[in-house]
Amino acid sequence: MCPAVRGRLPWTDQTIAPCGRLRDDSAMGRGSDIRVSALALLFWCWAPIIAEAGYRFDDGIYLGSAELMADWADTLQRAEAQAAALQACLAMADDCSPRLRGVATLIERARDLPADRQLHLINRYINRKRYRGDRRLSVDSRVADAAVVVPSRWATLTEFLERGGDCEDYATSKYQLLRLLGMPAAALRVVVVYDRAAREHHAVLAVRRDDGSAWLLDSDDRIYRRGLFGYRFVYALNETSIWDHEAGTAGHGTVDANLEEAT
Amino acid sequence: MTLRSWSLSLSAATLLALAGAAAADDAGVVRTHNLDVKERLAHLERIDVTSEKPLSDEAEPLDDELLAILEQVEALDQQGGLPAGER
Repeated sequence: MCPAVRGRLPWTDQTIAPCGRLRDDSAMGRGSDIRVSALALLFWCWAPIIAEAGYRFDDGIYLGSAELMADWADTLQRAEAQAAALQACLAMADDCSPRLRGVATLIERARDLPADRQLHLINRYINRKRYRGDRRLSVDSRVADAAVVVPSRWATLTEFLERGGDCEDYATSKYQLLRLLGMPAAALRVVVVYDRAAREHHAVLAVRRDDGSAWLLDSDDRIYRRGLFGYRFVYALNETSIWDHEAGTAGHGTVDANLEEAT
Repeated sequence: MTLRSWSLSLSAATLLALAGAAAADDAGVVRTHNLDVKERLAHLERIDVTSEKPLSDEAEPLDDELLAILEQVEALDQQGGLPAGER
């Protein structure tokens, strides 16, 4: 049953009667105008929700090279060295360290799977690993000209498998595994989001698919293809770049961003 | 509902859609921004990203082939001394 609603639409002479029916006070036979107003109202109400329907790789402002974020850049360097050990492991199974045999087998068996199934497998494998919160870490910032204490430490795949990690480590480990499976860096991004329900920051892995759509691999096992979810995208990074998803949006209050438009 | 009112409603919906598309289309518009990148990056570096989300019951189930791969890999991980998943 619909609730009783009464009111006056500001731009017409019509009133809203109980059950949302619109009654024309000025003249009969103007039902179509009323329906137009109702449609416009509906569109206006849903527009912000439709706008956050999913992650888009072509959104976001390029902030610079991945090297600008010191801890991320260090993680990438360590990951590169560890990837070489994994590749050697794949080439010479007998020489493989027992600690790497599992992940080497995973890569070996996932290689021939279709991309969608690879995503499901990697998401599930990494999400089963131990959660461990970060310790604060002092790093020499490349942008603040001084050492800063960063609350989140990025771990490599190998470090994560050995020690566990938190949400950005789940996303980073999936990133590295998919790179080892041959996905291009341009199709992958670790995306830091603000989770509106939990009121905290979180990280997921975005994967661009061949049709241009993006899948978000979450640490709770879900894979978001499209549709609604309560995340606001903050920034994203991969091994080459950093993108800002908040610059220019109202209310973030942290960037001195003046958007100007000119034709 | 008369044919006239139908056509009016449809026209209005089309106009709304066109207006939305026009508003979203950046073609021919040069957007520039003056962004303090260093300040922004320093801010991003300090964001605490440590969310812990429990596994969801709503995730799609894996088929038998993928489950078999996972089982084999997790057994190898444990033989290799890696900590078992605790989630």
